[in-house]
Amino acid sequence: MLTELVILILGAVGGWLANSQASKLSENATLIDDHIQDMMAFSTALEEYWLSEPKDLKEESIAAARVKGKHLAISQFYGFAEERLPLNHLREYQVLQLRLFQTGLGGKFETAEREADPDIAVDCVAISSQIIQVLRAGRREQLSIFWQLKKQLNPPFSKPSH
Amino acid sequence: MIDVAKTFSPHPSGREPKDGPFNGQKFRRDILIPAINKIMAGEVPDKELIVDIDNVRTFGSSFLEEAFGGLYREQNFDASEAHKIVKIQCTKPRLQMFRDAILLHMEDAKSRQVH
Repeated sequence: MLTELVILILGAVGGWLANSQASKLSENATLIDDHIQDMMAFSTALEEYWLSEPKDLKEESIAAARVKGKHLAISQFYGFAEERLPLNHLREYQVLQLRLFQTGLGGKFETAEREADPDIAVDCVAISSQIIQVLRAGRREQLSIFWQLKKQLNPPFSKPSH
Repeated sequence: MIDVAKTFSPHPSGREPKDGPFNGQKFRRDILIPAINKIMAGEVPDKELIVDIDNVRTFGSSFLEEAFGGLYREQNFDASEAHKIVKIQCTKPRLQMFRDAILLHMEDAKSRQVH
């Protein structure tokens, strides 16, 4: 009786752990999806910024503020990346994000001397695409583990054997 | 300790004075270097300089490069010693990218220092 009870409790705890892990994986995949959308918007903002030529410092400040505003969503995810990305993609993601930050928001960014620079615009779009690829790979892995867990938790209905 | 938002501005931007009042060069020359020099000269008991970025809204990399990476451009200043003294304090996840970028700029300043 006692053994059965222990097995029952262990089974319930195991099920609960697997369920919460599955929820976390599913939530991570959604958050990565949202981050991919933010990355696309940020990439477009950087492209527009580096292809435009400000008339004066005020216009430059406004254009830079638009880019920095879009970057807030990016830096927010970066701070939680360790919890949301698989370890094998984390380092590459961090290195690429820092490279994008230095390329897109560095150099003459937010300065009186800033001019349109198509090379930087292209670099920004290229690095952004690399980041999006890393995120997609990370998302795929999270979802693959999620479906494996789901399968174990809810095995497909099998026909009773006669 | 330097609280960047309180001591300088919660909205630092640009590189040089012509880019705005709260630029990277001004932060480096008026705030960062004097504080580092005080520690190096033993004028204060502290052995390290905490730079707290927690209350800053956001940064551009151009500001950070000028403020921290620009240390190697200063005459008669040992950027590699500064690298040992300066510690970045940041508790908010949204600012961790800027902390990592500052560390990269400091590392770069150390390696580019011409003696």
